[in-house]
Amino acid sequence: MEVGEGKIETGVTVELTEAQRRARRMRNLAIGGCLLGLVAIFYVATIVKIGPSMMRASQGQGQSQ
Amino acid sequence: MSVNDHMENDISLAMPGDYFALMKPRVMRLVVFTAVAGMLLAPGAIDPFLGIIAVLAIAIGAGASGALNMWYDADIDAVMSRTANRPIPAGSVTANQALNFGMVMSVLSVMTLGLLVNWVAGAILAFTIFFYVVIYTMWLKRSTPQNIVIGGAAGAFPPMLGWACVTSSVSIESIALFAIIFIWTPPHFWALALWKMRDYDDAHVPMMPNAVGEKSTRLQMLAYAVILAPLSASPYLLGFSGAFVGALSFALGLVFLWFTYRVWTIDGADEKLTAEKKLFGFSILYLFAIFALLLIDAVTFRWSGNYLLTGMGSW
Repeated sequence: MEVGEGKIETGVTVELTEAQRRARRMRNLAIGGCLLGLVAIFYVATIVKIGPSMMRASQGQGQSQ
Repeated sequence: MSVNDHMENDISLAMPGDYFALMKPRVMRLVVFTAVAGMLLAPGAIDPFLGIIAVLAIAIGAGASGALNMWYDADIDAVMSRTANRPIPAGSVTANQALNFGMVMSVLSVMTLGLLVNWVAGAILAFTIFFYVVIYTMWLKRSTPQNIVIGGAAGAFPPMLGWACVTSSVSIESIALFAIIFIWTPPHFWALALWKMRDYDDAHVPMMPNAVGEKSTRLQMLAYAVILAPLSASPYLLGFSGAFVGALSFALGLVFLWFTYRVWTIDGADEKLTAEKKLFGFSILYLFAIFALLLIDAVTFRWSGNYLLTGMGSW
């Protein structure tokens, strides 16, 4: 049955060729790597930006006790 | 046609490298280089880790605008020999994929720079992407021979961006860095356009040589080169680089002027257009050298308190 008529035969799956499978896997790995990198950047940047003031605040608390 | 046959044509074979090629890596390299120079030349300091994030965000923002440019210009790229191998005309990435990729990367880079560094830099990056994609690519490129003159501003923003990452501001010094690239762009690009005229003609892009004529283009190139020579020394004149680098930069500006003068006097009499090719080659070297010198000078000053080969910050 043709695609595009809005009726796709149920149970029909798409068989990817080896090249398509490989390309998809590489793209997924690249996206995963980028997301991990972004998480790491925001994590470390948070520590760099608010870390020192938190340290000062906790030291201040320690001195007042 | 079976489901499989049909789907096979629709499923992407694009590799991550094809997406990377959309980001114009060579342009990105120059952007990173000039942004780092701006960052180190700026007064004050940025946390090294935030500095690396800033450079990364600027690079990705520049890459995103490159991808959006390739999305919009795929029809032009396909007919020009210089650009026919780009991912969209080559068929490895579809125009829609490039658009999505460019949009996502634009938003991500601007948000990252704004949230983690500062919003002045974030706003300049957003404006740079807007300027390159909408003002230059969509509007000016196909409508006026002044396209690369005004569009050149997009390429001139990175050092200003680097500067803004450190100072959260725009100042006369960062405008001088902007001006060097801005004034350098027309003679650089027109040197290329003079020997790729037929390509631009085929693509119906009104570059100065084919829209207004070669003679006028050569004269305008000379005018820009005359302005560029003293402008090359402006970082020294404004007091944020040393006399040695100022003198060398001025000398480089004079050599640029000499190459442009040759292009003007030979006036296309040489069919091989050797003078134009030499100018184009030297123009790349010029920009690299100017910013490398400023970078070295800035590092020397930060490290020793003196500018390069100067005793106490002056002769």
